[in-house]
Amino acid sequence: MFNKVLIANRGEIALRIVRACQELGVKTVAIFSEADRNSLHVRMADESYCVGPPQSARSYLNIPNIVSAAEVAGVDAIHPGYGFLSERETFAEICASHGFKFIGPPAASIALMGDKASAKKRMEEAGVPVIPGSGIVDSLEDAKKFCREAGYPVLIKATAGGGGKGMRIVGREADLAAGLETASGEAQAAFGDGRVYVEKLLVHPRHIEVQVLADEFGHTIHVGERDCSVQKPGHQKLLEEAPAPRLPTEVREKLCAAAVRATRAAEYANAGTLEFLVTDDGNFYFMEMNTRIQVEHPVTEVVYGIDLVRWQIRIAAGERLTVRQEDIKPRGHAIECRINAEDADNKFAPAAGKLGSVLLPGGPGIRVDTHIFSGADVPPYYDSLLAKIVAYDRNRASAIARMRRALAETEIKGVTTTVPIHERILDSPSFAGAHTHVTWLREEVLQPPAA
Amino acid sequence: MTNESNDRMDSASADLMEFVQNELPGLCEAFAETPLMRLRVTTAEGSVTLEKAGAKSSAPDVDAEPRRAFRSHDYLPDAEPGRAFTTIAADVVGIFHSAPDIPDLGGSIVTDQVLGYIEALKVRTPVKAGIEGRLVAQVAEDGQPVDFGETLFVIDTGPADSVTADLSAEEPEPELMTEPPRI
Repeated sequence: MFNKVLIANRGEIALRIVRACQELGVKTVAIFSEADRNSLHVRMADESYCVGPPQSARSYLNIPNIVSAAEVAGVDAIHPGYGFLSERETFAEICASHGFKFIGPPAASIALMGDKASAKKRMEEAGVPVIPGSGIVDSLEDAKKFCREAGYPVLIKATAGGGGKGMRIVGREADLAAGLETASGEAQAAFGDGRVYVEKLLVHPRHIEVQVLADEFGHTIHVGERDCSVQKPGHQKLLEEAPAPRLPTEVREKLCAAAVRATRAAEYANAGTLEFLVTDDGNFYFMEMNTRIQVEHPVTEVVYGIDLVRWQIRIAAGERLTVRQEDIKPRGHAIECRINAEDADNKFAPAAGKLGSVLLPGGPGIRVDTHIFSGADVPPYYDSLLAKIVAYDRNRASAIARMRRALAETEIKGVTTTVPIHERILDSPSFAGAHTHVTWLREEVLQPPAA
Repeated sequence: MTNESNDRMDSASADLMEFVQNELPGLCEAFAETPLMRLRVTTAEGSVTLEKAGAKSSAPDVDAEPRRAFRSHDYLPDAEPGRAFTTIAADVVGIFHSAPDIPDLGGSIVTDQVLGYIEALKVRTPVKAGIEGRLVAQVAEDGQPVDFGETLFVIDTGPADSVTADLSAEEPEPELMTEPPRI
């Protein structure tokens, strides 16, 4: 096991990693920006180093200062957490070249899965379903042929892509020619590149992802799935749960088996997540792999009774993953609400400032992962996550009731938070029936259709 | 607070005596306002160590005494009316070494002068004065690990009004949400 680990992150995930290290008897080194001098991860770590001014680019992304701190502190390993440097293969390489173990996958796996095209190709080779795409459209006939096979509706996208320019939804073959022409014209005007391709458009898919763990000896398991369909506009998750409700056993098994195949195909080690879009007919399509620990990992931890962050550290230290696939059985249901300093009624505009009194929920079945406390500063420079409240109970209905109770206990003064929008989500009959999808929040909660 | 000075009090230490008489009261006052526990001022003739009551008598042991975040990286307050002290802080993380040709305390320094180096990852980053004045104190000890913003030197920059403008000039604009959204 390592003697000392540097945590290249801030906020609740830095605390989560400090706690895992402490339980393993590993010393911890925190890094911080000048805006985080008084933050909890700095207080809880054994040592701490300021690595730069408040702006992330000059502190939490400042590789020279972070690696220098690792050298000065004499650590064995660096845990990147999520966000910041966690999915930069160059950082993983630099850590290795200076003799620090990167607590995450090999740099080559990060590079492979970080590039959309190479990831999609490798997944197809491994027999993992991907969203059908046409490749660059050369002729109307080719496009028609692809669309007939994939089925309508389809989405025309510009190769140069971005910002919705050159994108067109086409619902039937009669509109295809016109759609291609407009999209190509728009792309030519916007990017100076009129090339377009066609993709199958999934209607109201759910976002379901599979947690995987692999050791450095090739033992790979999945740790079940999470449903993260409740998303803010812009595909940012707001509420996650495990296991995914209303998912037929047969689909779950296929999905998890595909995730394990994908992980092996990526020659992966450590913890990772395969994200899929799942349609109501039971088909699923690979979206991307997150080559790091995720914000929503606690729902998996409580339902499967497995400590993912501890396993990340143990695997990186060269230990064998002793958990067998047959030991992985969900018990009960867990829901996580992300409490952000954001105003849901104002396009989730982030808030910052000094917090007033903070009272966080507790009691049976509640886990709170947070770095905030009464009087803490919420700097404007970083993402707005304040706390993750996880409610766990024997089934989904009672977990929802428990989460309602926990939200009612929660008091965070000084900034606007997402507590009220979570209350609205939990009160929605379609959430109770698990009829959510990736645009559900926007379509049915934020802008509900007129009655 | 205890002040302890070298026994060698011959005529050659006139400079030191002058320093003790003229500068020390102000420096003590400034030192008291910082959370630093020890401050050693060394000249060719001798040294003065300022130490707060309750400080460990031996040199700080980084391993035994975990470093906490609450260290002052702020400018020292004016030591005496009409004079201003400013500090030179580390802008990289590493091991600090003073320059071999660093002037004696009280010696004047120029803007481009290299006062020391911070070494990490086999790279030595020079610490430049960045301001003209007289070297009043070396806060960081040779071989000591330093982090971003840590005070290395105290510089007497002369009349107070000449530096106040300098210090307030570079307040960086807050840069909002520079992280990519995480999914």
